[in-house]
Amino acid sequence: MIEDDVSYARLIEILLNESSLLSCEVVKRHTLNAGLEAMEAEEFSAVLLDLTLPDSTGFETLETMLHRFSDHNIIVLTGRVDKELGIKAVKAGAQDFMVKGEFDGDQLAKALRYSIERKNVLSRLEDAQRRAQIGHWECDPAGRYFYASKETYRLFDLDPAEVHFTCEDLQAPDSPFAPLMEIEQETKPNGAAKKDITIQTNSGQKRCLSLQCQAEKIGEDQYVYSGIIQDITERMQSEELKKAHDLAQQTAKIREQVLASVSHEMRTPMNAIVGMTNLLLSSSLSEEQLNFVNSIKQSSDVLLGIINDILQISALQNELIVFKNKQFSLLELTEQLKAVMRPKLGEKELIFQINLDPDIPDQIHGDQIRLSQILFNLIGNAIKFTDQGFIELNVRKALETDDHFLLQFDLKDTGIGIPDDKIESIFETFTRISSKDRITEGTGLGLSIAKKLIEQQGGRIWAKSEEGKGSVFSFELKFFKTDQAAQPLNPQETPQPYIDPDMPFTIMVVEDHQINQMVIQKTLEKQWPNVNIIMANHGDEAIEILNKNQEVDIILMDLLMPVRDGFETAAYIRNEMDGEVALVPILAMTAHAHISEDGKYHQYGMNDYILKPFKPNELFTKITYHLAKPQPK
Amino acid sequence: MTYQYIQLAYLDTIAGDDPQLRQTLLEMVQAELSAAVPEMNQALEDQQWEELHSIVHKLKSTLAFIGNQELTTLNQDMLSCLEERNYEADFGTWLSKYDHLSGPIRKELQQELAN
Repeated sequence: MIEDDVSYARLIEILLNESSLLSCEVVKRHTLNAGLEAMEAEEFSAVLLDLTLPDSTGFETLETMLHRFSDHNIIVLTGRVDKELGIKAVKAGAQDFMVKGEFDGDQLAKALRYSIERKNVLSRLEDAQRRAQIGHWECDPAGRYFYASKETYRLFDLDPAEVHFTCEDLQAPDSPFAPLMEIEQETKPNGAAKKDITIQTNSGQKRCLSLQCQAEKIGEDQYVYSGIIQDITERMQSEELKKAHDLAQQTAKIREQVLASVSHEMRTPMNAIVGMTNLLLSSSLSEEQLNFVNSIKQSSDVLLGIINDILQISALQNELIVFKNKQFSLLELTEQLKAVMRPKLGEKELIFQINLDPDIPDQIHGDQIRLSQILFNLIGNAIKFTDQGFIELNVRKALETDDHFLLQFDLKDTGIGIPDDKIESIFETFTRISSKDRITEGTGLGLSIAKKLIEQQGGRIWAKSEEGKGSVFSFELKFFKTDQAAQPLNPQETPQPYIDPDMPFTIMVVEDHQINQMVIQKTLEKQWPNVNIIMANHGDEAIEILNKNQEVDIILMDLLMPVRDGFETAAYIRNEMDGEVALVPILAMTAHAHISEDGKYHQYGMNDYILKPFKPNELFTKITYHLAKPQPK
Repeated sequence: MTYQYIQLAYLDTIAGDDPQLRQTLLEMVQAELSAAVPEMNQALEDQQWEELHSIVHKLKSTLAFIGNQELTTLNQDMLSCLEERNYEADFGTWLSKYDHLSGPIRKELQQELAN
């Protein structure tokens, strides 16, 4: 209670203490400044404020108080002759006014209770407005009254604790609340108006506000206005994003339709060009003409490939592809792929290995052509982005039921890798990872086609990559079992090791252990009488032999040897030697059972490994496998 | 003939129906095992860990022909420690066991060679 009349303040205290409606403690101050200091130090549920004090009088007392504590629950005490002042005080922000001498203890207690509850309700309303980002305002220009909720101030980027606008402030030409005045004017013809505006906040950001205002006519050209204001920035942004997204999708669809249409029209003449070129190639041509025609053929093939890709992605997007379900041999499929890819792999001297888990049946049911296409696209992609090292395809059973298998294919390469921020988008159509020092061929459709071919068969594809180190593309596809499903694909079992007995071939064995040398030599000679074995005691000896143009079909390489070990020797053959010898298959021979785990033998350019002590059949199978001479049927 | 310390199934697989090869392999295994024990002891005494590693690694292939599980396990334990560069392991005790086992093994190999 801020009251300079000490006796009256004491009387109010006694009245409140006697009332059973309210239990409270009264803190008394006798000047406005003392009262403000007390309010700074302590929070009060209500403030009883006499407007006539030694250091401030009249309405100014309330204005000073509201300026400092606009949130507080203030009840003004006026004299009998100052009732109008009390009404004005309530309009300005006081919760209530009471006329001195016209209330008893219970009436004062009731008024205090109501004001406290009312203040609580207002606080909750303010809180709700803040959360919903909705403010409201009221304005009576004739009565020179204006009120705006705190959220209204905040929406205009003003701090309600710092500024408090009056009706006069509102009419100033540069008032931040000018939009409120404008919409108030717009309500006059119809009694209501609604509009969206954009303002710039102090931090330079755009804020979209929706204003709604109603006008109530209270006299000739006199109105009272009330309105609400809402922050719709997020909604507007999301609508703009949706519009942009819809437009982009529509544009992409049109682009693809146009491309598909053009490609379709181009395919017929392109087929004619390719066909005629083939006929030309089979005719008698001079060397120069042959070069020209070969150039036409290569370019036509590339162009036809692009056209086919575009047509296929279009068909996939419209789900027009019908998948077949026929029996085929997985081993044959992968061997064919290997043969098809060999020239491209050879251009970059890349090592390519396919590892089929032995417990996968050779004969499975599925769409062979589509699987070939998926693998062709993925392997082609891996070759494109791998300049040195190896590419490895591992296939294993991820799941088996009574009637089908889920096979997981993992294609690993030592290529340039994919940046983290691009990995999500690599399967999107026409996406190509750009690199300043690399020109990327193709349409950017290969991975997208593979993804759609996999997903439309109920499978899934994903990729992991480390920039500068390589990538692993994995996919899972379901294949059905066949009657011959029991027949395993185990390379130790089928196909049987077969090397043409009439074709002599040479194996170099790099091994320092004499017993192993003898065992390998005798074992190989017993299996293949036509084999020529060259023995080297360590890596340097092997290199010396190879440098003498000794032709070797395959190398069996011990890893731990004196002078130069197997890793260094393999790396030297791959990196330092020229011609076919640099591509000769190298099988590591090791006693380390965990060799396959770290892939070190691969990193040094070796194609496969054999565990020592070796099993003869395993040795034969691996040699046969890498000499790529499958058994004739 | 059944032996207590040697099991020649792998050697027989490799030799197949070639008695000469079988005989040669037995001789080579016998010679290598005989030489290995003193070589290992010397390498340990000189703390020549790479040399010790090389001998133990080489023996891994040789022991496959002998077929003594205890000696194979012992060799593998030593090899693991040497590959991990754990030179604090008790190689002395291991080599004593090696020596202790290799005696009867060599004896049985000798018997097989004499047959």
